[in-house]
Amino acid sequence: MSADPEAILTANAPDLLKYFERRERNDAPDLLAETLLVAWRRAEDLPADPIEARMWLFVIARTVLLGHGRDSSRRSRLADRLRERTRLESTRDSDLALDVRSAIAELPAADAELIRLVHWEGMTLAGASQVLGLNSSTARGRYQRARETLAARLGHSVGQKAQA
Amino acid sequence: MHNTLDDLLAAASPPMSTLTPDAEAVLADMVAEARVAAARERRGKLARRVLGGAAVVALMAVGTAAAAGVLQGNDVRNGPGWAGNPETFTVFEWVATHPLDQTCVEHLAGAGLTDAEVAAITATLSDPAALLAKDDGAVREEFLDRGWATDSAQDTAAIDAAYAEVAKLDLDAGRGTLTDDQLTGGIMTNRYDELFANVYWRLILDGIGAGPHGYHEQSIGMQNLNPDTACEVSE
Repeated sequence: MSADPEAILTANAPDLLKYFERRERNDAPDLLAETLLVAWRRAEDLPADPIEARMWLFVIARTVLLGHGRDSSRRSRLADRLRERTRLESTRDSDLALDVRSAIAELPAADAELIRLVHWEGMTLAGASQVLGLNSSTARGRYQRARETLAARLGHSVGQKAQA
Repeated sequence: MHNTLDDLLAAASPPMSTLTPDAEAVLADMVAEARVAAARERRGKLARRVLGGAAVVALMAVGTAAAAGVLQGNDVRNGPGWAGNPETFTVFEWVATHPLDQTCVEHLAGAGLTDAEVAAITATLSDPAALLAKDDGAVREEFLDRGWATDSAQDTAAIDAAYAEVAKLDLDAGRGTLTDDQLTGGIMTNRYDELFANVYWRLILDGIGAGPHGYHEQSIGMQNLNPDTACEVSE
């Protein structure tokens, strides 16, 4: 059974937008537009399984994010409309939240992104490792090490969250 | 109060936007727009592949197509991009007048079309009144609904001009006496002209069954049809 790109893209677009907002707030709609374009270009490769398709889209999103800034001249009119139709939640960041984000940012880049994908995007560790192009055992080791580092810095005990 | 490291990490996520109800509709539109853009790119790639190096060439009508505006063969143009390719190409050509009074040759180039598809496209382009009747204003409505055009007098005039120009389509006449030497290959000098061209080609592509809707149900030949416009050099 072949995948339905339109349905899969539409279903995942809100989460992709959030993914970009957490990393590049101002350009999130443009990054989403670029991701959707790349996804359509490669629609024949879209996995039929919805979970696999979701991970595939996040791999594209990450690639788009890494290439961000190379061509900021292309702006989507619809992206501008989307910008007008989203409202930033009024909640202010607590000092603690800022400290935690700062601690995450001090981790090695791949470890920090593993933490963000698992705890902010709600991915399994297997999914996050797929997005980052890591094999699962490497990802598991990095994730555990990152948790221990964060727990030490933040003064919390290390629990288990992500399941492989 | 955060009891576990997991809670703490989750709570550290940066503040998110909330989507208004019509933002979800915009997201759906973005998905559709990306699909159209990707299809347009695919067509552009084919055009670059087959038309590369063939900027100034004489047309040689070969094959069995009867209409003057329909050229078939793997050497309908004698540039290297055509002659070296084993696929059979079909080029549909006719003349249109653009809003700035530019006389332009409209090319619709395809590779690997079946005889039945060539015959169907020829029949459709030979009867523009039927094509427009079948459209029944759908392209105009879509452009307005999606925000690709407004109901301003200028946009309305551009859309009207595109519909009127499609009505004059004369495939039998082909490109007439225009030679490639007389064509710059460029249009789209302003938003008005761009809107005209977009509406014009959507009418054509939808009319022959090669538009963005139902793209995945089309044959590869129909998916890869490439619209192109080359205009007379202005004095």
